[in-house]
Amino acid sequence: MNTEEQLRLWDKIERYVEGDMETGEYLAFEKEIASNPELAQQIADYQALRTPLDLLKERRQLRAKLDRFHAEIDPVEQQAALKVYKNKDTWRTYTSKYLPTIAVAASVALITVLSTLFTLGYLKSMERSQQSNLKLLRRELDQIKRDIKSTKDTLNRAIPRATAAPQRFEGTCFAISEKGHLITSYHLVAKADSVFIESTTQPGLRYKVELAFGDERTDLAVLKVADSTFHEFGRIPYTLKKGTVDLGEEIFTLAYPKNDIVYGEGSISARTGFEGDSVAYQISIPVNPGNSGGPVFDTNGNLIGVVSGKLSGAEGVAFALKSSAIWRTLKDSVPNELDEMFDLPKQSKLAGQKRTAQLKKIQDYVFQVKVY
Amino acid sequence: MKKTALFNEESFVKALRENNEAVMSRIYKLYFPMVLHLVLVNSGTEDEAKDIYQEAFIVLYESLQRPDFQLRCSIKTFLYSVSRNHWLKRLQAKKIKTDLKDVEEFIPFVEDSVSIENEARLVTIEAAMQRLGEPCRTILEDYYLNEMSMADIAEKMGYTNADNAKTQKYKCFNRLKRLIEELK
Repeated sequence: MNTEEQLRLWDKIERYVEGDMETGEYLAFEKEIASNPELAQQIADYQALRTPLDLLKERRQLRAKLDRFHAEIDPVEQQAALKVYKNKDTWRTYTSKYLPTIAVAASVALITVLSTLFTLGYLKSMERSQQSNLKLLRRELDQIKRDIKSTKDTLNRAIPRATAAPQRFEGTCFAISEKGHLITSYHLVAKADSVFIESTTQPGLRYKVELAFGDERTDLAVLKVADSTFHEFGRIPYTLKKGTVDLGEEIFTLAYPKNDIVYGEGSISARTGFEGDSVAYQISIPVNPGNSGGPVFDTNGNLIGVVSGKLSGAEGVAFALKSSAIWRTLKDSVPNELDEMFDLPKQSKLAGQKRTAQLKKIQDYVFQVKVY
Repeated sequence: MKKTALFNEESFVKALRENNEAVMSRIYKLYFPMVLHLVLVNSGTEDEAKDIYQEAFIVLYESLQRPDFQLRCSIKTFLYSVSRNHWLKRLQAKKIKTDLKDVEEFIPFVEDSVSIENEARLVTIEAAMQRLGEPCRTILEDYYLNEMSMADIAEKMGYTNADNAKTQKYKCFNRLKRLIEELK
Protein backbone atom coordinates (compact mmCIF):
# COMPACT_ATOMS: atom_id res chain seq x y z
CA MET A 1 0.00 0.00 0.00
CA ASN A 2 1.58 3.30 -1.08
CA THR A 3 1.34 6.55 0.79
CA GLU A 4 -1.46 7.77 -1.44
CA GLU A 5 -3.56 4.71 -0.62
CA GLN A 6 -2.69 4.90 3.05
CA LEU A 7 -3.79 8.54 3.15
CA ARG A 8 -7.06 7.68 1.42
CA LEU A 9 -7.78 4.87 3.87
CA TRP A 10 -6.91 7.04 6.87
CA ASP A 11 -9.17 9.80 5.58
CA LYS A 12 -11.94 7.22 5.24
CA ILE A 13 -11.43 6.07 8.80
CA GLU A 14 -11.55 9.65 10.05
CA ARG A 15 -14.75 10.35 8.17
CA TYR A 16 -16.19 7.07 9.52
CA VAL A 17 -15.34 7.96 13.12
CA GLU A 18 -16.58 11.54 12.70
CA GLY A 19 -19.85 10.26 11.23
CA ASP A 20 -19.18 12.08 7.99
CA MET A 21 -20.21 9.27 5.56
CA GLU A 22 -23.19 8.70 3.33
CA THR A 23 -25.43 5.87 4.53
CA GLY A 24 -24.45 3.55 1.65
CA GLU A 25 -20.75 4.09 2.13
CA TYR A 26 -21.14 3.74 5.91
CA LEU A 27 -22.89 0.38 5.69
CA ALA A 28 -20.38 -0.95 3.16
CA PHE A 29 -17.50 0.17 5.36
CA GLU A 30 -19.07 -1.44 8.45
CA LYS A 31 -19.28 -4.71 6.52
CA GLU A 32 -15.63 -4.39 5.52
CA ILE A 33 -14.56 -3.75 9.14
CA ALA A 34 -16.44 -6.83 10.29
CA SER A 35 -14.65 -9.04 7.79
CA ASN A 36 -11.23 -7.37 8.01
CA PRO A 37 -9.47 -7.58 11.42
CA GLU A 38 -6.54 -5.54 10.12
CA LEU A 39 -8.86 -2.65 9.28
CA ALA A 40 -10.53 -2.95 12.69
CA GLN A 41 -7.10 -2.65 14.30
CA GLN A 42 -6.31 0.48 12.25
CA ILE A 43 -9.55 2.05 13.46
CA ALA A 44 -8.64 1.20 17.05
CA ASP A 45 -5.23 2.83 16.56
CA TYR A 46 -6.87 5.94 15.18
CA GLN A 47 -9.28 6.03 18.17
CA ALA A 48 -6.38 5.70 20.62
CA LEU A 49 -5.19 9.11 19.53
CA ARG A 50 -8.55 10.63 18.68
CA THR A 51 -10.07 9.99 22.15
CA PRO A 52 -7.53 12.07 24.09
CA LEU A 53 -7.71 14.75 21.41
CA ASP A 54 -11.47 15.00 21.90
CA LEU A 55 -10.97 15.00 25.65
CA LEU A 56 -8.49 17.84 25.30
CA LYS A 57 -10.92 19.77 23.13
CA GLU A 58 -13.74 19.44 25.67
CA ARG A 59 -11.43 20.33 28.50
CA ARG A 60 -10.23 23.49 26.75
CA GLN A 61 -13.76 24.53 25.92
CA LEU A 62 -14.77 24.02 29.51
CA ARG A 63 -11.78 26.00 30.74
CA ALA A 64 -12.69 28.84 28.42
CA LYS A 65 -16.22 28.78 29.81
CA LEU A 66 -14.97 28.85 33.39
CA ASP A 67 -12.64 31.72 32.55
CA ARG A 68 -15.64 33.58 31.23
CA PHE A 69 -17.52 32.95 34.49
CA HIS A 70 -14.49 34.02 36.43
CA ALA A 71 -14.26 37.30 34.56
CA GLU A 72 -17.85 38.01 35.56
CA ILE A 73 -17.12 37.79 39.29
CA ASP A 74 -17.82 41.10 40.97
CA PRO A 75 -14.71 42.00 43.01
CA VAL A 76 -16.80 43.81 45.63
CA GLU A 77 -19.04 40.79 46.14
CA GLN A 78 -16.02 38.55 46.29
CA GLN A 79 -14.41 40.66 49.00
CA ALA A 80 -17.65 40.58 50.99
CA ALA A 81 -17.88 36.80 50.68
CA LEU A 82 -14.24 36.43 51.64
CA LYS A 83 -14.85 38.52 54.74
CA VAL A 84 -17.63 36.16 55.79
CA TYR A 85 -15.20 33.25 55.57
CA LYS A 86 -12.56 35.19 57.48
CA ASN A 87 -15.01 36.03 60.27
CA LYS A 88 -16.09 32.42 60.45
CA ASP A 89 -12.44 31.52 60.71
CA THR A 90 -11.82 34.00 63.50
CA TRP A 91 -14.66 32.53 65.49
CA ARG A 92 -13.34 29.02 64.86
CA THR A 93 -9.85 30.03 65.99
CA TYR A 94 -11.32 31.72 69.03
CA THR A 95 -13.33 28.69 70.07
CA SER A 96 -10.54 26.21 69.37
CA LYS A 97 -8.15 28.40 71.35
CA TYR A 98 -10.34 29.25 74.33
CA LEU A 99 -12.93 26.50 74.40
CA PRO A 100 -10.74 24.07 76.39
CA THR A 101 -10.13 26.76 79.00
CA ILE A 102 -13.80 27.66 79.16
CA ALA A 103 -14.70 23.98 79.41
CA VAL A 104 -12.29 23.41 82.29
CA ALA A 105 -13.56 26.47 84.13
CA ALA A 106 -17.15 25.40 83.59
CA SER A 107 -16.53 21.86 84.81
CA VAL A 108 -14.80 23.14 87.94
CA ALA A 109 -17.77 25.37 88.66
CA LEU A 110 -20.19 22.54 87.99
CA ILE A 111 -18.31 20.10 90.22
CA THR A 112 -18.20 22.68 93.02
CA VAL A 113 -21.90 23.36 92.83
CA LEU A 114 -22.85 19.71 92.59
CA SER A 115 -20.65 18.61 95.47
CA THR A 116 -22.04 21.41 97.63
CA LEU A 117 -25.58 20.44 96.80
CA PHE A 118 -24.75 16.83 97.48
CA THR A 119 -23.26 17.65 100.84
CA LEU A 120 -26.32 19.56 101.82
CA GLY A 121 -28.45 16.59 101.00
CA TYR A 122 -30.27 18.70 98.51
CA LEU A 123 -30.10 16.11 95.79
CA LYS A 124 -31.52 13.51 98.07
CA SER A 125 -34.51 15.61 99.03
CA MET A 126 -35.05 16.51 95.41
CA GLU A 127 -35.08 12.85 94.51
CA ARG A 128 -37.62 12.17 97.17
CA SER A 129 -39.94 14.94 96.07
CA GLN A 130 -39.69 13.78 92.48
CA GLN A 131 -40.87 10.31 93.24
CA SER A 132 -44.08 11.26 91.62
CA ASN A 133 -46.54 10.41 94.26
CA LEU A 134 -50.02 9.80 93.14
CA LYS A 135 -51.99 12.07 95.30
CA LEU A 136 -55.46 10.88 95.78
CA LEU A 137 -57.90 13.64 95.42
CA ARG A 138 -60.01 13.36 98.44
CA ARG A 139 -60.64 16.51 100.23
CA GLU A 140 -59.64 15.92 103.77
CA LEU A 141 -61.62 18.15 105.97
CA ASP A 142 -60.35 19.96 108.95
CA GLN A 143 -62.15 17.66 111.30
CA ILE A 144 -59.95 14.71 110.48
CA LYS A 145 -56.93 16.69 111.47
CA ARG A 146 -58.23 17.21 114.93
CA ASP A 147 -57.45 14.85 117.63
CA ILE A 148 -60.12 12.22 117.16
CA LYS A 149 -59.82 10.97 120.69
CA SER A 150 -60.55 14.37 122.23
CA THR A 151 -63.43 14.89 119.81
CA LYS A 152 -64.92 11.59 120.84
CA ASP A 153 -64.45 12.45 124.46
CA THR A 154 -66.16 15.78 124.01
CA LEU A 155 -69.04 14.23 122.12
CA ASN A 156 -69.43 11.48 124.65
CA ARG A 157 -69.56 13.95 127.41
CA ALA A 158 -71.83 16.50 125.74
CA ILE A 159 -74.32 14.37 123.82
CA PRO A 160 -74.14 10.73 124.71
CA ARG A 161 -74.54 8.47 121.58
CA ALA A 162 -74.00 11.39 119.21
CA THR A 163 -76.14 11.75 116.10
CA ALA A 164 -73.46 11.95 113.41
CA ALA A 165 -69.88 10.93 113.08
CA PRO A 166 -67.58 13.63 111.69
CA GLN A 167 -67.58 13.99 107.91
CA ARG A 168 -64.33 12.61 106.56
CA PHE A 169 -64.09 13.83 103.04
CA GLU A 170 -65.87 14.68 99.84
CA GLY A 171 -65.72 13.72 96.23
CA THR A 172 -67.84 13.45 93.11
CA CYS A 173 -69.99 10.72 91.65
CA PHE A 174 -72.33 10.39 88.69
CA ALA A 175 -75.32 8.32 87.76
CA ILE A 176 -75.12 5.35 85.41
CA SER A 177 -78.61 3.99 85.81
CA GLU A 178 -82.06 5.41 86.29
CA LYS A 179 -82.57 3.07 89.20
CA GLY A 180 -79.89 4.73 91.28
CA HIS A 181 -76.48 3.32 90.42
CA LEU A 182 -73.59 5.70 90.51
CA ILE A 183 -69.88 5.52 89.81
CA THR A 184 -67.18 7.07 91.93
CA SER A 185 -63.62 6.44 93.10
CA TYR A 186 -63.11 3.51 95.42
CA HIS A 187 -60.62 5.35 97.61
CA LEU A 188 -63.32 7.84 98.59
CA VAL A 189 -65.73 5.31 99.99
CA ALA A 190 -63.43 2.46 100.98
CA LYS A 191 -63.61 2.76 104.71
CA ALA A 192 -66.78 4.74 104.99
CA ASP A 193 -69.26 4.42 107.82
CA SER A 194 -71.94 6.00 105.73
CA VAL A 195 -72.09 7.77 102.38
CA PHE A 196 -74.50 10.41 101.14
CA ILE A 197 -74.87 12.09 97.78
CA GLU A 198 -75.98 15.67 97.42
CA SER A 199 -76.66 17.98 94.54
CA THR A 200 -76.48 21.73 94.35
CA THR A 201 -78.37 21.83 91.08
CA GLN A 202 -81.36 20.14 92.64
CA PRO A 203 -81.60 21.85 96.03
CA GLY A 204 -82.48 19.59 98.91
CA LEU A 205 -81.52 16.42 97.09
CA ARG A 206 -79.72 14.21 99.58
CA TYR A 207 -79.72 10.43 99.45
CA LYS A 208 -78.04 7.82 101.49
CA VAL A 209 -76.10 5.42 99.28
CA GLU A 210 -74.44 2.03 99.77
CA LEU A 211 -71.38 0.56 98.24
CA ALA A 212 -72.53 -1.95 95.63
CA PHE A 213 -69.13 -2.77 94.20
CA GLY A 214 -65.57 -1.73 94.93
CA ASP A 215 -62.28 -2.50 93.24
CA GLU A 216 -59.11 -1.21 94.79
CA ARG A 217 -56.91 -2.03 91.79
CA THR A 218 -58.76 0.19 89.32
CA ASP A 219 -60.01 2.51 92.08
CA LEU A 220 -63.56 2.02 90.90
CA ALA A 221 -66.68 1.91 93.03
CA VAL A 222 -70.37 1.57 92.22
CA LEU A 223 -72.81 3.09 94.64
CA LYS A 224 -76.49 2.32 94.91
CA VAL A 225 -79.01 4.72 96.35
CA ALA A 226 -80.51 3.19 99.47
CA ASP A 227 -83.16 5.66 100.49
CA SER A 228 -86.90 5.19 100.86
CA THR A 229 -87.61 8.63 99.38
CA PHE A 230 -85.80 7.80 96.11
CA HIS A 231 -87.74 6.85 93.01
CA GLU A 232 -85.44 7.24 90.03
CA PHE A 233 -83.01 9.66 88.43
CA GLY A 234 -84.78 10.00 85.12
CA ARG A 235 -83.38 9.38 81.63
CA ILE A 236 -79.61 9.75 81.64
CA PRO A 237 -78.44 11.85 78.66
CA TYR A 238 -74.90 10.55 78.20
CA THR A 239 -73.65 7.22 76.97
CA LEU A 240 -70.55 5.21 77.84
CA LYS A 241 -67.91 5.21 75.16
CA LYS A 242 -66.75 1.67 74.47
CA GLY A 243 -63.61 2.45 72.51
CA THR A 244 -60.68 4.63 73.43
CA VAL A 245 -60.25 8.32 72.76
CA ASP A 246 -57.53 9.81 70.57
CA LEU A 247 -54.63 11.78 71.84
CA GLY A 248 -55.34 15.49 71.97
CA GLU A 249 -59.10 15.10 71.90
CA GLU A 250 -61.01 17.78 73.76
CA ILE A 251 -62.63 16.66 76.97
CA PHE A 252 -64.49 18.20 79.87
CA THR A 253 -65.51 17.33 83.37
CA LEU A 254 -68.02 18.31 86.01
CA ALA A 255 -67.20 17.86 89.68
CA TYR A 256 -67.51 19.06 93.23
CA PRO A 257 -64.10 20.27 94.36
CA LYS A 258 -66.03 22.72 96.52
CA ASN A 259 -69.60 22.95 97.65
CA ASP A 260 -70.74 23.89 94.19
CA ILE A 261 -70.47 22.10 90.88
CA VAL A 262 -67.40 23.11 88.83
CA TYR A 263 -66.79 22.73 85.12
CA GLY A 264 -63.30 22.01 83.76
CA GLU A 265 -62.02 21.44 80.28
CA GLY A 266 -58.83 20.14 78.71
CA SER A 267 -57.60 17.33 76.53
CA ILE A 268 -56.28 13.79 76.49
CA SER A 269 -52.53 14.21 76.92
CA ALA A 270 -51.50 10.55 76.99
CA ARG A 271 -53.07 7.19 76.29
CA THR A 272 -51.63 5.79 79.50
CA GLY A 273 -51.94 6.88 83.08
CA PHE A 274 -49.68 6.93 86.11
CA GLU A 275 -46.44 5.04 85.37
CA GLY A 276 -47.72 3.79 82.04
CA ASP A 277 -50.93 2.35 83.46
CA SER A 278 -52.85 1.26 80.36
CA VAL A 279 -56.31 1.35 81.94
CA ALA A 280 -56.09 5.12 82.42
CA TYR A 281 -55.60 8.27 80.39
CA GLN A 282 -53.41 11.15 81.32
CA ILE A 283 -55.54 14.24 81.06
CA SER A 284 -54.76 17.91 81.20
CA ILE A 285 -57.65 19.27 83.16
CA PRO A 286 -57.22 21.37 86.24
CA VAL A 287 -58.35 19.03 88.97
CA ASN A 288 -58.46 19.62 92.67
CA PRO A 289 -59.19 17.54 95.69
CA GLY A 290 -62.85 16.70 95.35
CA ASN A 291 -62.62 15.97 91.64
CA SER A 292 -62.06 12.30 92.38
CA GLY A 293 -64.85 10.19 90.98
CA GLY A 294 -65.92 12.90 88.57
CA PRO A 295 -67.01 11.99 85.04
CA VAL A 296 -64.94 12.89 81.98
CA PHE A 297 -66.79 13.49 78.71
CA ASP A 298 -65.74 13.98 75.11
CA THR A 299 -67.19 16.82 73.02
CA ASN A 300 -70.19 14.72 72.02
CA GLY A 301 -71.07 14.07 75.63
CA ASN A 302 -69.88 10.47 75.65
CA LEU A 303 -68.61 9.35 79.03
CA ILE A 304 -64.98 8.46 78.47
CA GLY A 305 -63.60 8.05 81.98
CA VAL A 306 -63.55 8.75 85.67
CA VAL A 307 -61.10 11.14 87.30
CA SER A 308 -58.92 9.07 89.59
CA GLY A 309 -56.11 11.30 90.77
CA LYS A 310 -53.40 13.71 89.93
CA LEU A 311 -49.66 13.84 90.11
CA SER A 312 -48.47 15.84 93.05
CA GLY A 313 -45.80 18.37 92.26
CA ALA A 314 -46.74 18.55 88.58
CA GLU A 315 -49.32 20.91 87.18
CA GLY A 316 -51.89 19.76 84.68
CA VAL A 317 -51.10 16.07 85.05
CA ALA A 318 -54.21 14.18 86.11
CA PHE A 319 -55.48 10.71 85.41
CA ALA A 320 -58.79 9.22 84.46
CA LEU A 321 -59.80 5.59 84.43
CA LYS A 322 -60.84 4.68 80.87
CA SER A 323 -64.50 3.95 80.16
CA SER A 324 -63.42 0.69 78.55
CA ALA A 325 -61.73 -0.29 81.82
CA ILE A 326 -64.87 0.58 83.77
CA TRP A 327 -66.90 -1.59 81.50
CA ARG A 328 -64.41 -4.47 81.61
CA THR A 329 -63.96 -4.35 85.39
CA LEU A 330 -67.66 -4.45 86.01
CA LYS A 331 -68.27 -7.15 83.42
CA ASP A 332 -65.64 -9.35 85.03
CA SER A 333 -66.81 -8.70 88.58
CA VAL A 334 -70.59 -8.42 88.46
CA PRO A 335 -71.73 -9.99 85.18
CA ASN A 336 -75.26 -10.71 86.36
CA GLU A 337 -76.10 -7.28 87.64
CA LEU A 338 -74.38 -5.39 84.84
CA ASP A 339 -77.50 -4.66 82.82
CA GLU A 340 -79.23 -3.34 85.85
CA MET A 341 -76.26 -1.21 86.82
CA PHE A 342 -75.83 0.23 83.35
CA ASP A 343 -78.88 1.48 81.61
CA LEU A 344 -77.25 4.31 79.77
CA PRO A 345 -78.68 5.20 76.37
CA LYS A 346 -77.13 3.63 73.27
CA GLN A 347 -76.76 7.05 71.69
CA SER A 348 -75.62 10.16 73.47
CA LYS A 349 -78.34 12.80 73.47
CA LEU A 350 -75.74 15.51 73.76
CA ALA A 351 -73.95 15.18 70.41
CA GLY A 352 -73.70 18.38 68.43
CA GLN A 353 -75.07 20.57 71.21
CA LYS A 354 -73.51 23.65 72.67
CA ARG A 355 -71.39 23.03 75.73
CA THR A 356 -73.68 25.07 77.98
CA ALA A 357 -76.67 23.05 76.84
CA GLN A 358 -74.76 19.82 77.42
CA LEU A 359 -73.81 20.90 80.91
CA LYS A 360 -77.39 21.81 81.78
CA LYS A 361 -78.43 18.27 80.96
CA ILE A 362 -75.49 16.56 82.62
CA GLN A 363 -75.34 18.52 85.85
CA ASP A 364 -78.38 16.81 87.36
CA TYR A 365 -76.63 13.46 87.16
CA VAL A 366 -73.42 14.53 88.87
CA PHE A 367 -73.44 14.55 92.66
CA GLN A 368 -71.32 15.44 95.59
CA VAL A 369 -70.26 12.47 97.68
CA LYS A 370 -70.12 13.02 101.41
CA VAL A 371 -68.34 10.38 103.35
CA TYR A 372 -68.68 9.88 107.08
CA MET B 1 -28.33 36.39 49.81
CA LYS B 2 -30.41 36.18 46.68
CA LYS B 3 -28.19 33.41 45.43
CA THR B 4 -28.46 31.28 48.51
CA ALA B 5 -32.19 31.79 48.72
CA LEU B 6 -32.62 30.39 45.23
CA PHE B 7 -30.25 27.54 45.94
CA ASN B 8 -31.64 24.08 45.47
CA GLU B 9 -29.05 21.32 45.48
CA GLU B 10 -31.02 18.71 43.58
CA SER B 11 -32.06 21.02 40.77
CA PHE B 12 -28.50 22.31 40.54
CA VAL B 13 -27.09 18.82 40.09
CA LYS B 14 -29.67 18.15 37.41
CA ALA B 15 -28.90 21.40 35.62
CA LEU B 16 -25.18 20.65 35.71
CA ARG B 17 -25.81 17.26 34.18
CA GLU B 18 -27.83 18.94 31.47
CA ASN B 19 -25.01 21.39 30.85
CA ASN B 20 -27.08 24.42 31.86
CA GLU B 21 -24.67 27.30 31.48
CA ALA B 22 -26.55 29.78 33.67
CA VAL B 23 -26.60 27.40 36.62
CA MET B 24 -23.00 26.43 36.05
CA SER B 25 -22.03 30.07 36.15
CA ARG B 26 -24.00 30.65 39.34
CA ILE B 27 -22.44 27.68 41.16
CA TYR B 28 -19.02 28.71 39.96
CA LYS B 29 -19.37 32.18 41.42
CA LEU B 30 -21.05 30.93 44.58
CA TYR B 31 -18.19 28.78 45.83
CA PHE B 32 -15.11 30.48 44.45
CA PRO B 33 -14.65 32.65 47.59
CA MET B 34 -14.56 29.48 49.70
CA VAL B 35 -11.67 28.02 47.72
CA LEU B 36 -10.00 31.41 47.42
CA HIS B 37 -10.05 31.63 51.20
CA LEU B 38 -8.66 28.10 51.56
CA VAL B 39 -5.74 28.83 49.23
CA LEU B 40 -5.04 32.28 50.68
CA VAL B 41 -4.80 31.03 54.27
CA ASN B 42 -2.58 28.18 53.09
CA SER B 43 0.17 30.26 51.50
CA GLY B 44 -1.27 30.52 48.00
CA THR B 45 -2.18 33.33 45.62
CA GLU B 46 -5.43 34.33 44.00
CA ASP B 47 -4.26 32.98 40.62
CA GLU B 48 -3.43 29.64 42.18
CA ALA B 49 -6.85 29.61 43.82
CA LYS B 50 -8.51 30.18 40.46
CA ASP B 51 -6.50 27.36 38.94
CA ILE B 52 -7.25 24.92 41.74
CA TYR B 53 -10.91 25.87 41.78
CA GLN B 54 -11.30 25.38 38.05
CA GLU B 55 -9.65 21.96 38.28
CA ALA B 56 -12.12 21.00 40.99
CA PHE B 57 -15.01 22.41 39.00
CA ILE B 58 -13.93 20.38 35.97
CA VAL B 59 -13.81 17.23 38.11
CA LEU B 60 -17.35 17.98 39.31
CA TYR B 61 -18.63 18.72 35.84
CA GLU B 62 -17.00 15.75 34.14
CA SER B 63 -18.04 13.39 36.92
CA LEU B 64 -21.64 14.50 36.56
CA GLN B 65 -21.52 13.85 32.81
CA ARG B 66 -21.07 10.15 33.54
CA PRO B 67 -24.45 8.50 34.03
CA ASP B 68 -23.09 6.04 36.61
CA PHE B 69 -21.70 8.80 38.82
CA GLN B 70 -23.53 9.53 42.09
CA LEU B 71 -22.83 12.74 43.98
CA ARG B 72 -22.77 11.61 47.61
CA CYS B 73 -22.34 14.99 49.27
CA SER B 74 -23.30 18.59 48.60
CA ILE B 75 -21.80 20.41 45.62
CA LYS B 76 -20.08 22.71 48.07
CA THR B 77 -18.43 19.88 50.00
CA PHE B 78 -17.43 18.16 46.77
CA LEU B 79 -15.79 21.30 45.40
CA TYR B 80 -14.06 21.97 48.68
CA SER B 81 -12.80 18.41 49.03
CA VAL B 82 -11.38 18.24 45.52
CA SER B 83 -9.82 21.71 45.79
CA ARG B 84 -8.32 20.79 49.12
CA ASN B 85 -6.84 17.61 47.65
CA HIS B 86 -5.38 19.40 44.65
CA TRP B 87 -3.96 22.19 46.75
CA LEU B 88 -2.39 19.70 49.13
CA LYS B 89 -0.68 18.02 46.16
CA ARG B 90 0.64 21.33 44.91
CA LEU B 91 1.97 22.25 48.31
CA GLN B 92 3.73 18.91 48.51
CA ALA B 93 5.18 19.45 45.04
CA LYS B 94 6.43 22.88 46.17
CA LYS B 95 7.90 21.21 49.28
CA ILE B 96 5.94 23.52 51.54
CA LYS B 97 4.92 22.14 54.92
CA THR B 98 1.68 20.29 54.36
CA ASP B 99 -0.13 21.10 57.55
CA LEU B 100 -3.25 22.32 55.77
CA LYS B 101 -5.51 24.68 57.65
CA ASP B 102 -9.10 23.76 56.86
CA VAL B 103 -11.88 26.29 56.51
CA GLU B 104 -14.74 23.93 55.74
CA GLU B 105 -16.05 20.44 56.28
CA PHE B 106 -14.68 18.00 53.74
CA ILE B 107 -14.90 14.38 52.74
CA PRO B 108 -11.81 12.27 52.15
CA PHE B 109 -11.69 12.51 48.40
CA VAL B 110 -10.31 9.74 46.24
CA GLU B 111 -10.47 10.36 42.53
CA ASP B 112 -11.88 7.43 40.60
CA SER B 113 -10.00 5.37 38.02
CA VAL B 114 -11.78 6.89 35.03
CA SER B 115 -10.68 10.43 35.82
CA ILE B 116 -7.16 9.30 36.73
CA GLU B 117 -6.86 7.52 33.38
CA ASN B 118 -8.25 10.52 31.50
CA GLU B 119 -5.92 12.83 33.37
CA ALA B 120 -2.89 10.73 32.35
CA ARG B 121 -4.02 10.74 28.71
CA LEU B 122 -4.40 14.51 28.76
CA VAL B 123 -0.99 15.11 30.29
CA THR B 124 0.65 12.90 27.63
CA ILE B 125 -1.13 14.43 24.67
CA GLU B 126 -0.51 17.98 25.83
CA ALA B 127 3.19 17.22 26.24
CA ALA B 128 3.27 15.63 22.79
CA MET B 129 1.51 18.64 21.23
CA GLN B 130 4.09 20.91 22.82
CA ARG B 131 6.92 18.96 21.19
CA LEU B 132 5.24 18.69 17.81
CA GLY B 133 6.55 21.93 16.33
CA GLU B 134 5.05 24.05 13.55
CA PRO B 135 3.10 23.86 11.30
CA CYS B 136 1.87 20.54 12.65
CA ARG B 137 0.75 21.85 16.03
CA THR B 138 -1.35 24.61 14.52
CA ILE B 139 -2.94 22.32 11.96
CA LEU B 140 -3.86 19.66 14.52
CA GLU B 141 -5.07 22.19 17.08
CA ASP B 142 -7.16 24.05 14.53
CA TYR B 143 -8.76 20.88 13.26
CA TYR B 144 -9.14 18.74 16.37
CA LEU B 145 -9.43 21.33 19.11
CA ASN B 146 -10.79 24.44 17.43
CA GLU B 147 -13.15 22.65 15.03
CA MET B 148 -11.97 24.53 11.92
CA SER B 149 -12.75 23.11 8.47
CA MET B 150 -9.94 21.81 6.23
CA ALA B 151 -10.71 24.54 3.69
CA ASP B 152 -10.22 27.25 6.29
CA ILE B 153 -7.02 25.63 7.54
CA ALA B 154 -5.67 25.40 3.96
CA GLU B 155 -6.38 29.08 3.48
CA LYS B 156 -4.92 30.06 6.83
CA MET B 157 -1.74 28.03 6.35
CA GLY B 158 -1.27 28.87 2.64
CA TYR B 159 -1.94 25.49 1.08
CA THR B 160 -3.23 25.50 -2.48
CA ASN B 161 -6.19 23.28 -1.63
CA ALA B 162 -7.87 21.30 1.13
CA ASP B 163 -6.45 18.01 -0.11
CA ASN B 164 -2.89 19.21 0.32
CA ALA B 165 -3.76 20.35 3.82
CA LYS B 166 -5.33 16.95 4.48
CA THR B 167 -2.11 15.19 3.44
CA GLN B 168 -0.20 17.44 5.81
CA LYS B 169 -2.67 16.73 8.61
CA TYR B 170 -2.22 12.98 8.04
CA LYS B 171 1.54 13.30 8.37
CA CYS B 172 1.19 15.40 11.50
CA PHE B 173 -1.24 12.91 13.03
CA ASN B 174 1.32 10.13 12.53
CA ARG B 175 4.06 12.26 14.04
CA LEU B 176 1.94 12.92 17.08
CA LYS B 177 1.34 9.20 17.40
CA ARG B 178 5.07 8.48 17.34
CA LEU B 179 5.74 11.24 19.90
CA ILE B 180 3.17 9.79 22.28
CA GLU B 181 4.71 6.35 21.98
CA GLU B 182 8.09 7.89 22.82
CA LEU B 183 6.62 9.62 25.85
CA LYS B 184 5.01 6.48 27.23
